[in-house]
Amino acid sequence: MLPNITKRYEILEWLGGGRFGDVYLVRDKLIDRKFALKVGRGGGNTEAFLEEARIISHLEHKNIIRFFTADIIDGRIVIVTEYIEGRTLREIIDRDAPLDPETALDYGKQLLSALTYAHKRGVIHRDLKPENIMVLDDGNIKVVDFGIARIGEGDLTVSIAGTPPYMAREVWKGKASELSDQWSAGLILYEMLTGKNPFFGETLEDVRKKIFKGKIPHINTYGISLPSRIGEAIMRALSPDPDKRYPDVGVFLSELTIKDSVSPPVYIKKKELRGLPYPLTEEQREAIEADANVLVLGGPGTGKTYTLMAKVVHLLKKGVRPENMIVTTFTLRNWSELEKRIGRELGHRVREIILGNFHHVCMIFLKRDIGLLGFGEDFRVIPPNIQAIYMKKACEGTGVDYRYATNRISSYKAKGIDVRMAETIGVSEKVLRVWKKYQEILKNENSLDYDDVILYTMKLFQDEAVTREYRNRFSHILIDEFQDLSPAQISILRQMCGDNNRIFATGDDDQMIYGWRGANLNNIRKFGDGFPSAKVFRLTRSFRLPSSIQRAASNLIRFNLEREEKVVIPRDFNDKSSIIIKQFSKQSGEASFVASEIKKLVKAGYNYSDIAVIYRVNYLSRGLSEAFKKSGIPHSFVGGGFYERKEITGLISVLEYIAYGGKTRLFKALLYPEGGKASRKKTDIEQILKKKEMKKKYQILENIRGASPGITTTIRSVIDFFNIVRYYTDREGGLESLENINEFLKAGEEFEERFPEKSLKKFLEYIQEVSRAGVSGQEGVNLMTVHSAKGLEFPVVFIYALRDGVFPLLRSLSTREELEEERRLMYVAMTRATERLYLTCSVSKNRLSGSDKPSRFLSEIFGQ
Amino acid sequence: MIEKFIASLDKGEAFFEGNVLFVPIKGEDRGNGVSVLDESIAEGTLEVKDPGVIETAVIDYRGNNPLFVMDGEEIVGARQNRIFATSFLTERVEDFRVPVVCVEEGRWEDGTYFATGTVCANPQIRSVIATTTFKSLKKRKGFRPDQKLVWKEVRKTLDRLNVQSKTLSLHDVYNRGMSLFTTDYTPDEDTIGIMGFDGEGFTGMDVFSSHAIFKKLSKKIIQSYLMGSWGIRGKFPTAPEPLKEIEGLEDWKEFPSIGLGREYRTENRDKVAKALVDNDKVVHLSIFRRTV
Repeated sequence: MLPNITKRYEILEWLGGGRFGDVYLVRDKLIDRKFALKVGRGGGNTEAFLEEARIISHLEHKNIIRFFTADIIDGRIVIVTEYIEGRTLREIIDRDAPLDPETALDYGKQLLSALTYAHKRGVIHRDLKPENIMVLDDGNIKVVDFGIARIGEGDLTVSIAGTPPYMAREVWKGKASELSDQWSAGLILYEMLTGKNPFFGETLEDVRKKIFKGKIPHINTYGISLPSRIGEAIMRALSPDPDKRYPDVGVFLSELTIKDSVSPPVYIKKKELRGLPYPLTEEQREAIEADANVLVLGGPGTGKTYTLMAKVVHLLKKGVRPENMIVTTFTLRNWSELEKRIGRELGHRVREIILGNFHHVCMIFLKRDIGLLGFGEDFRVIPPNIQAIYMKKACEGTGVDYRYATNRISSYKAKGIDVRMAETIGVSEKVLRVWKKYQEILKNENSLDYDDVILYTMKLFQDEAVTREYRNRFSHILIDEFQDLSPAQISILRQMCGDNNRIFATGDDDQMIYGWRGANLNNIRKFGDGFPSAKVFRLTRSFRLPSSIQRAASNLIRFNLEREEKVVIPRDFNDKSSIIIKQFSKQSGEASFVASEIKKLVKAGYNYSDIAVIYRVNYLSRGLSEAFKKSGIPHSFVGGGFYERKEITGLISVLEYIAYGGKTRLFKALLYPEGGKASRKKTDIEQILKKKEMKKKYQILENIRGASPGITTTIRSVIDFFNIVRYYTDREGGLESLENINEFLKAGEEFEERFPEKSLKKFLEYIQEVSRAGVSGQEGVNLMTVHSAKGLEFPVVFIYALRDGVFPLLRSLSTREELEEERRLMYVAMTRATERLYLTCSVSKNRLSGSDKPSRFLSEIFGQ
Repeated sequence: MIEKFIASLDKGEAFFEGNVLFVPIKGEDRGNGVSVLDESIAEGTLEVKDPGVIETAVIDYRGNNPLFVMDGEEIVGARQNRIFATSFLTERVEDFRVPVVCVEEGRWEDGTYFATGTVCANPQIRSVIATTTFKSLKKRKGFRPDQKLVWKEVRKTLDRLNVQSKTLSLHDVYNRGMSLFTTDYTPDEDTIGIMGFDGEGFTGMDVFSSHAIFKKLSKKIIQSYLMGSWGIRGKFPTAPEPLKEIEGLEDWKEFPSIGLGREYRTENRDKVAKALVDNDKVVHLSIFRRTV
């Protein structure tokens, strides 16, 4: 209850809570000073506490939080300590781990110094964990809660934050000592350096079992730039047997001093490049220090983005101002990663750098100067659904399908061709007519589409004054994933780079997977043509790829004819990585294998989130999702799940009307497959039913409802009577939609087979459950298409459904260029794995691809 | 009548637990003997069964006193854990169907009988239920809170407290963190309810017709408020004029209750409120900060 506390202290903020109690930031009204006030939860042994408090009150060390006094108020233990502004080591680990070795060791040494001092005075901490270590802005740490753990005795639960206890084996049996503090400190060091707590478990029992088992990967297998002797020291401190640890923490501390190293890491002095968590290799340093237009080429995991980030830091150190830089990335993930890292160097000034993806950068230019192109400053960029509306309008009376027109026009714009240029290059007259009308609509609406953002920026730079101004302003342009830029984007870069500007680009032609968006291999090959005196640097050392995976991926990509040959040195020649290839006669067997293998991996110590399953097309996720649901495997979709696909949600809404009726459902069902906004108003429904086509659809739906056929028959009837096959056949991307619909029909067949007595309503409920299981919000296995996997990495990767006609896609087999792009996709998929790679296939005949052969890529990875 | 009741309330001496400031609410004690959920199940006078439909529970009550159940009180077991969707009062009854809401999305097993969860849902979840039930009542669709929104709120709660739950069960939050949501508060004789404030302001209020009912439910309510606000930082809450938070609620709409008496509900931009009234007596009034 504590009303008496507030008589003396003004409570300013609640700082947090745990098993022992809550911590508040308070102001002592008497002396007008801030303290941290820890208030116990009631119960507990107050006498023992007071005795401990007397001992702790004598601890005075720069790395131990200062304890002022203790009291019992309203029956509760109250402890007054100094208030520290800073972050907990937990927050730092969660955000930044693995930390750079120098920082991690620095924190570790300060921790051990505090422990050495306290142990000499007979005080054991007992509850060391990152939450109990504060890190100040100046890099000093303070350990909190010395000895307190004994006071708040209560049930041993995992705290609400889910943090496992950092408790040595003997402490679980009630025998805490200086040696157990040493073990906890070793674990904290391990976690700072690797980013992993190897004893993490979902339940207390899981954690206990792992700690008692004691087996964890040796820290030296993580490829950290750390003298092996220090790694050995940490592992010794983590010995399950206390007798095998150091006799005291002082000895452990002395072992952490860097003396001789096996492979000397390139340590950068703290003040020079504070923002970099890892030291640079010589290759990276050379590329960064070159004062020229630079292209950095490197295979997967060679640190290209890291090199780009290090270049930013290097330029800042050289005195280049943040506002004179542009940094572009390809993915949002890289964008936020870069912002975070550069932010460590610059603080809030990171906002002065123009940092983002290419569209974001162009928007900044357009917002300033779009007036020059006849648009108002309050222009808007329309999303795809509005674009579809405008394009439909432009297509009226022309006989051109609006989706076809959208794709054609987009591909021209990506090449830097506007509607005026289109007239001279032989674009079809019908498309040209639509295009002109479409641009007119956009102009009237003061709007641009996504492609226009790039195109109009290109046009801006055709103005000499604009070019001169931006060249004067931006001395350095840094581009990540250069291979994926479109011709229009490259044209902008060329305009921006005069004699006094520098471009620093990173890329890998083997990972160009956006050819369908206009990207071109010549981006890399002809870099020097666009940017004079360009130098090319190669990164050869992969920090991610283990040798077996690197070899297999290299064998595969060599089947592409026109590419830059690369040397890629794997992370570790003696690694224990593996590639496992499995073939099945049925896809259900393949999915079940993936599920059971994942279960085994988790038992072996992996987290679900360490695992990714990659597939070529979305419909393949359905079988996986169902296998995972059966096995209770939490999972989530990167980029949307199978049941969220537009063609599937539309079909489901038709089935929902058939099952449940209702005006809104009817409206939605009538709009399938085109889609649109459904209304509940009676008048709107009456209006729509006046149309002959809609009346016919309504009749069909009522007939189906009346007949109440089985699930499969219902789905087939909808597909047939709504002419779904014809609708999608002629559309761009329609084949994939048809595959998804086919897969949905299969789901209905399987459900009916398993539950012959169950109704359509039950099927729809079942789909909802499966769908929800896939978006549980929990940490789970990551399911994604290859395109979504770009830029990511996982210890374990499954590449699923490796069948010719699926991966590579059937339609890609007709041209070399398309097949090579499929091969690059496979290369990207394989090189996401850092420890284990599974390649699976099933050879039952696929209805659409017609193939029953394993993917040719499986032979190619062996060089065959 | 509700407005008069609100105007008659007074505030007690505020206290804090964790990051929540509690203000006891004082008022006239108009209680008769009433039994509550936990004691009735313990005594064997109340059985709660699962009829196999997510949104319904079936109760058989054989006690001598009227039974009062508060919205948000949890029952566990059967096919999946639920909470009661609205407060109700009933005398002896058999096969009485009451509306409930699922708070364990990831389980659906065989099972008929519920036990008491001994806890109740946090104000955010109760707020979602109150708001969406009000909507369905206004449309004459009965007590139909939005189950999906409740599941979403449960997931949010699990995420906020970083609790891993295999079945997405709200109860797992209590399983993991019960030691964090403790209180030694004992209400004074003239205290009939409580109000909570956290770093984001007013969270909720529960007031009853008698001190006896409040005393029986106070621990559950305080725990639920603590759980609902756990982790919310910001300036430590103060409430110099707490009763001002509940002024101005008007335009109460009347609905039949599922048991004895009538229900009254209202909402404004920031708050949603409901009251169970029997024989001109406000049995239970709850007001929450709106979350939807």
